[in-house]
Amino acid sequence: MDESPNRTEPDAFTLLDQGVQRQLYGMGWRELRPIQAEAIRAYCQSDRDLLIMAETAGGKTEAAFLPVLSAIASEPEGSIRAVYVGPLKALINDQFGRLEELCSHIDVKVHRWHGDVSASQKAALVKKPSGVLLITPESLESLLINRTASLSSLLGGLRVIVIDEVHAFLEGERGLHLASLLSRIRRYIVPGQARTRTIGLSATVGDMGIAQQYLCPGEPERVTVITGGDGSKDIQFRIHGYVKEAANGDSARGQNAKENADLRVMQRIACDLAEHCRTHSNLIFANAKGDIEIYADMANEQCRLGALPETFLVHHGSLAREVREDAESTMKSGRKMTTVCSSTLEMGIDIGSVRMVCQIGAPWSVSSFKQRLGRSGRKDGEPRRLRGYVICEQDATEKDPLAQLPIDLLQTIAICELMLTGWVEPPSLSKLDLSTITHQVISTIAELGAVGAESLHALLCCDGPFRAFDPILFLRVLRELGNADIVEQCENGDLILGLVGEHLRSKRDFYAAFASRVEYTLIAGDRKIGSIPIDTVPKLGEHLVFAARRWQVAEVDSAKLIVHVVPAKKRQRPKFTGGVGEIHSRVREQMMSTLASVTVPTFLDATAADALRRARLISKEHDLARRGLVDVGDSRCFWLTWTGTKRQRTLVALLTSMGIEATDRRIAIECRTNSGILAQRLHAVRERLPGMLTLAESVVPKQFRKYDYLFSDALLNESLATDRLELLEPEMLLV
Amino acid sequence: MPNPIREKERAAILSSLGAGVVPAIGLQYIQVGRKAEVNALLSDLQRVEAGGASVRFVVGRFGSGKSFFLNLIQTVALERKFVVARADITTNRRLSGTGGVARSLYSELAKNFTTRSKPEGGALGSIVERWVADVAHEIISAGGTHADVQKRIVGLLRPLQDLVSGYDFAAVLNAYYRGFSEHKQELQIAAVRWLRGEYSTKTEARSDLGVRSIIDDDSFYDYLKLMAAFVKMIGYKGLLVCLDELVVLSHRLNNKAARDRNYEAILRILNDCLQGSVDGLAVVFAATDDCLTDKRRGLFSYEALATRLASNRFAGGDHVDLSGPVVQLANLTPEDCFVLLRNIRCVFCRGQNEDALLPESAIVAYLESCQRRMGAAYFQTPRETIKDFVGLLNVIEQNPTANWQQLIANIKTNAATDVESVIKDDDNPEKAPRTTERGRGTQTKPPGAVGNNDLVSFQL
Repeated sequence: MDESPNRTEPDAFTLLDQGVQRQLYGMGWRELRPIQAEAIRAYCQSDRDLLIMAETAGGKTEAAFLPVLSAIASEPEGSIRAVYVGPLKALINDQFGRLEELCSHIDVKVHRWHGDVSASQKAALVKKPSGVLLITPESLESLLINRTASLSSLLGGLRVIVIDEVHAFLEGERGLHLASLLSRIRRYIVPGQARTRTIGLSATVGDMGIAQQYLCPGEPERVTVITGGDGSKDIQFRIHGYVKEAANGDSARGQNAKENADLRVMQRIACDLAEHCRTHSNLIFANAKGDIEIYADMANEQCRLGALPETFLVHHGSLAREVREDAESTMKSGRKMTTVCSSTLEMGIDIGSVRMVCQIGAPWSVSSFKQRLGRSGRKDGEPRRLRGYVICEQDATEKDPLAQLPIDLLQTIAICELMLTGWVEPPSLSKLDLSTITHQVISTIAELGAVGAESLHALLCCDGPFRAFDPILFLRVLRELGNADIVEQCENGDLILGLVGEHLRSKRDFYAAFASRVEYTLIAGDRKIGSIPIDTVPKLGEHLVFAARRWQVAEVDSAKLIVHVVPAKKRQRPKFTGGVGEIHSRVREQMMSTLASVTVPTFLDATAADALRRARLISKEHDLARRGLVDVGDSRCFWLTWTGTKRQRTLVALLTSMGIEATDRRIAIECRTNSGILAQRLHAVRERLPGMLTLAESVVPKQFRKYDYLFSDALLNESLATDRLELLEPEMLLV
Repeated sequence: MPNPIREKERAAILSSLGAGVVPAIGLQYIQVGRKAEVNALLSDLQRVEAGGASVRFVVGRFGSGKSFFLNLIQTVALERKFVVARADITTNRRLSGTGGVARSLYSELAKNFTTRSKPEGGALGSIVERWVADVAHEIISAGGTHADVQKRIVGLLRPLQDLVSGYDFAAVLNAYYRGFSEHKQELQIAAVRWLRGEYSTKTEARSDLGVRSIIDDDSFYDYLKLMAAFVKMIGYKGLLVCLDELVVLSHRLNNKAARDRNYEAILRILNDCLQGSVDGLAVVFAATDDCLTDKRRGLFSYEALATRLASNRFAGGDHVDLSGPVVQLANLTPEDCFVLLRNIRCVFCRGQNEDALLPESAIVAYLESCQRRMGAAYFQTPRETIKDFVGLLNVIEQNPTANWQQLIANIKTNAATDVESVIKDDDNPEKAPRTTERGRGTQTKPPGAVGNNDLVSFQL
């Protein structure tokens, strides 16, 4: 056939399959974006793996799938040809629509597989595997253990694996889990055909090497990195500070007065939110689910007071799917609504165009902050807009100088400034994750029926991602799993599941490597509105704000784990326990230099600027903007560390092991001793540093992952020493 | 350009082009280019006139002008005293199949018989009536009886009886004559119904006409050949059969066996016509590129067709070979497009004051804006170009204040909704002027200078 006679040099577009070209033409594209053109050339003209990095809405999905679909268009049937792994169901549903559109003119079928996909659709795919499969890691796990017999026909001719939002998989249990799953599914690919390639899609990651290693373990140099150059995006932002009114001296009602002051400052924030957000589509991120609910309620109240329609929606992981999907589709419809959300909307789910992103409270990492900022200004020519709302906690009545520092504000400023320099935290995958390896041991045995210890080790720790487990350590793990009746050894040496292991494997929450707590379902009338963890279930008659509405608990059914609620008038913040991630030491260092500097960033509003200036005065008075010791009273001192959470934890462990009572105060460690003694003892310990395992012994709590409870402290300490603590160096103890 | 254009033709051209369909009349006003392709089809018609047969596949993308081309050929053929039968293939009307799908295609063709005197179709009845009347007149005026006429009809149709089903064909025409001479209109109607393939059961045909067979799914092509021989015998130059939308067979039928049976039927037609074993039949198929070349489901998936239809390996680029059965409609050159749009503008303005409505530079600008879309060189089709252009002319005519530069510029940026961003700034809650400060965010500047609520700009 004659190929485009009127083009002299083949450009990226002509490398695509005719049907894909037709579809692009039909969609009226003017041109391919640079990353798309580069990705197409790289995919079609080499056999390398790709890492495509661009901000949200940078056209990453198309960059990956235009060449992938073109490559499989000629032979879509006979096996699944491309697997796409995405972290969220909603994201998969979204991508499903986009891919189906791209496939309009080619014969490639797009399938999705997650908890909400019907059994008949799944059965159809198993019967006649073809095309592209969109799946979550958890469903991939379920595929591996529940459809073992079909795996060869499903995956035998797999050509490419696409991992979306790779940065989300570079840390935590899910990342390890996925890495292990991918190495496991590769075993079903029939050898002798072209190498199955990997494409990663990601927002900017702090350390590309780690992402490359993740995509192509062992041969990271095979991964070509393609970066979207959208440096010209304008960002506009402003940080608003809020100061609590001083609690008036009535000590008898101190607690109550403090609560009132908290409420009033939140109300002021909500008032500003309503003012700033009312006229457009916006996203408001908050760090805790309780905050999400309470701020949405307060902002809607502001709308009502102004006789305006309520425009604030909520979106977080504890809401029922219907409520979340409703928020997503309302946003997508282009109505001028604002959603208060958690990190669930950080990822690339399409929610239409967002004009501005707000952040309530201090962000905890540059990478998540950047990701959030990227949700606004997705259209060409639109700037990214962001407003931060920070309560500057400065309790002048306290003697404690640390209590007078607005640490949240400092953290916000530091993260903003680091973001402007372009720095992002490097990701870190944990190495000795006992819980996730347990999960994979159980599921691999479930997949294979029975397996020898040696080949299990080869499978998980040589081919798979658990490379830090040497045979000796792996044997210790197996032995403890044996003690807990998770695994059992047959007489021929093969491992099979023990009774407890069988029980764990058959539980509904098994497929996820991360822990999910037992939850109560929240029901209003006959509609499920969400769920609430067992440890924060409200009592009968209590009020709570949920799904942006106010409720009162009418019935608690502890047998069926159901809470019935009825609409109510009173507002009460729901209790959710939640934590923030690890803070990198670079952030804390930046906070220190912000405090030491004299310039006031232009993005602060008057209150925040005042708060910063006051903080600097305090810092000067007590000499806080440095590393070192500060006495507070006779038997109490601060060790100003200005360092990340991991080193803080290490140092606290060290102090505890030395018998000194120590508390993490974010930028410092509070010690129950005076600075002279502390300095001496630190000096002494520098000569003879304790081993990491010794330090780990004094870390509590030790269990924080799903299956950690199965292990002895001795093994947990090994894991803590490697993953949760920083290697202790004498220089860290210079004061 | 023939002037002045008739108002009926102008309305037909503009309304059909504006809706993206091919006008049935007035083609001569807008036809441009494709001389070689038209000539190839003309030579086909000449071959049929000389007693042969021909088959052609007109291949082009959706909207590249296949239907327009067929209309043009139809016009030419009618001028040359051909009978033209046209039908679109649909999933219920195809070359082969069961449950009446092939008969239904035949019926559609028979219903659409056109001649020069009946250009809007439905000519089969009048063809038969005229011929029978002529024969009767000839015999009766020479003193013959009705029986003589019937004998004469059988005699004239004898050569047809060599063809498959020829005997029944003659019997039906005789029945028609009986109805004609005995003034039994229902018999005449029944005969024409039979010829159009509208009988679905043999019993019914037998009780109405006394024949033992009907035109059914299996005899579709045999009757087409009979019809061709018939029209030729009674004085027409031949029968031109145009089958459009072949793509239905390849891309809508989702059953390989069914597709293959249809391709087999096409193969049979192709072989017959190329080998010259048929008389008076010209068949033109219109198909999209995919329909032809797709190796998995197109005509090329049927090995015997693939070898016969494969393009001449020596042709390509500037060299064309139009002697093979496939006529590839090339994209119109930019010059052709320009002339085409200018012709449309001329039709639109009734040939007067064209530049006042839209200057030629605007046509150039419009064409350029169309070309800017990705893949335009490949996928841009005259249909889209023309449809939008007619729209543009309509807007300009009805809105005298409209400025064509702006209208064309708007097509360019329709991806980004600029209007919204223009409106946006009016109801902006951040009303105060934005600061334009750039760079690192730590310049010392009293925050009061910028409004306390304003956003501050930075660049990453």
